[in-house]
Amino acid sequence: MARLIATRLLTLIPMMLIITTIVFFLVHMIPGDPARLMAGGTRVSPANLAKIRETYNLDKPVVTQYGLWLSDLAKGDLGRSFRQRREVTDLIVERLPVTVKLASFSFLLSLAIAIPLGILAAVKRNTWIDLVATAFALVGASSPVFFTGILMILLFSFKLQWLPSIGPGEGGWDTVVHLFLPSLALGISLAAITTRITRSAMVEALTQDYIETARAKGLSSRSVVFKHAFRNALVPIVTVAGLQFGFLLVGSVLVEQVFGLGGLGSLLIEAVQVRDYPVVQGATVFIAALFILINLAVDVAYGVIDPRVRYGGGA
Amino acid sequence: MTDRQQHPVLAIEDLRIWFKTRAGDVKAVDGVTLTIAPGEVVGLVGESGSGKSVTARSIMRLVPAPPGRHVGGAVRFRGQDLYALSEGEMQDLRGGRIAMIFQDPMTFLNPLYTVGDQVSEAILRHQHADRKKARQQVIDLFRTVGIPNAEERFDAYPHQLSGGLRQRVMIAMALSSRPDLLIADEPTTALDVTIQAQILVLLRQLQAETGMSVLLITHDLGVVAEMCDSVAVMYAGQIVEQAPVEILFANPAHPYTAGLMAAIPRADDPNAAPLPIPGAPPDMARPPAGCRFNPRCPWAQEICRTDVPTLRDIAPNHRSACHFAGSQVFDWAILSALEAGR
Repeated sequence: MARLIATRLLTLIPMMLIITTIVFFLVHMIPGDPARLMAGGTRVSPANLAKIRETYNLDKPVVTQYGLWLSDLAKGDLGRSFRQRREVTDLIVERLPVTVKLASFSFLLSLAIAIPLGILAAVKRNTWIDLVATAFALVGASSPVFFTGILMILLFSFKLQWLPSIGPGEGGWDTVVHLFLPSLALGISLAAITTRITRSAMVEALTQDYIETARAKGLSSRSVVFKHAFRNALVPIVTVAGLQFGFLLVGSVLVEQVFGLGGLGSLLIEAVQVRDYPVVQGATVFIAALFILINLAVDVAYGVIDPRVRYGGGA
Repeated sequence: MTDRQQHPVLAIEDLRIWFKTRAGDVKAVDGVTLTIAPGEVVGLVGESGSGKSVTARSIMRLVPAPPGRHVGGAVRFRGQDLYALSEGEMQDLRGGRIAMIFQDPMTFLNPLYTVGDQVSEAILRHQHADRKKARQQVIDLFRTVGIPNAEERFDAYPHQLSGGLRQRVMIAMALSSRPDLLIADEPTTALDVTIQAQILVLLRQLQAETGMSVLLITHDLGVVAEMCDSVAVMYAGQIVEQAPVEILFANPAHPYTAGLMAAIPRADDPNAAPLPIPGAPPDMARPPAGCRFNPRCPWAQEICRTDVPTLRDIAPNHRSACHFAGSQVFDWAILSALEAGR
């Protein structure tokens, strides 16, 4: 197990190198002149433009710029924002909490909806319960989050006035109250997929031979479903849940816009619009690293769930 | 009728288990009647698809419903109709007084739990034992069923054991609560030949030690001859013949049984080619009228195509469901058929 983690951590280095390269060159391929955008208009004197370019190393060849950026990155320095004239690291640290909170809340909400519903649908398969779960998944998966979000604001904030519609709240319980609607909007769309995966993994597990052994032992349906089937169904569920959590870190941008939460996703979108290279690069690399770490956590989870992974044995 | 048969451990009476499909009801078990006396080892033989496994599972009420459903008949265990019990009462019996082992020990153990855990689970379910006591009991059971290094094996996962050891684990699990009846569904089919013999010897020895009754499901008449006291032959969802092993082998009283015997390859006479039974088992959604074996039976008469034969006593302890069983003409026909196979 420790070896598995160690090897995976080592592969992180080449992976990050590849990602940084791709990110850097992609960002620089976006049309638009950051110096001109920074100067804020078309009627800028060539001298001023040249000065800006010099300050930010934009006059140097792209490959040189890449080298400089990479050596800073190796020291943990993500550079300074062109536009906001602040450290990129500070910007990320400032925006991160609301994103992490939103992502975690909606992730937990989605699991709280999807896992019981998926299990129920599998156990009661081909009944009306299964049908309701399928309908929920279909509607959830096909409604865009910004649409669900707006509907929720209309219902819960505007009509019923139960919950606030905007802002991240001021900490503690206030944050929970403020983040509930956006988390629910995101959570429902995630839950749609997780419900389907849980259902199909549980159906698969419940038709395995060892389920019959468990029943022949005299175990109750509860132990059969939760102890023997659910743990076997966990691997696909954890895989999907891990991917979803990764996507949540950026994918929540639409919800952030609807509910006026300035998170990491919003930071990235704003930066792309003004060709703020260091912020785009820094935020993307940061998110990529998080993504890789989540995948590592998923791999470790496989080992915890399944002894065949842990001991590296086949059938 | 002997006393042993008047107080059977298990009496299946005209059991019908059907499966709903698009093509109509598949009558997998359609009027099975079978008795098992205390301490008796009964073999249930038949071709694949004859309904042997469904019969075995229906005793434990393990047939998933839907699509399966109990259409009629009773399964009496020590006089108690199991189909009249609640699911909770049934759970107390499963793995307690009735236990079951299955065909493929590779897939019938949960890959995510240690074998020791899986056997303890059965003990904790049926006996007043704490984990520590259960663990010791499992280790003792492992020794009884011949698992070497029993203590270390407790913490092994199924994938770390060979097929033979896994089947021994299954047997340990089934025997953990000293059942009155053990149902073994083709327990050696998935194993290597040498391991098969070991498992059969083990089962025979454990049966002799505990005095439990065994229903052994198999398609292998050799296993039956080796293991069983009596044998029931199943064809197309019904029992067509039941008799003590010696009688059945010496004097089969159903054309299907005779056909099965003639189909065994013979090692003592390499020139005698095995004679397969012509045709295929019927589609159980639309079984033939009259005797279900009539389309494949070389001696079928008009009555076989119209009247359903009942399973009746043709001699003490010998029952057959053939219209002609017991008649002299029939005995002569069967004998000549067996001779042809020899």
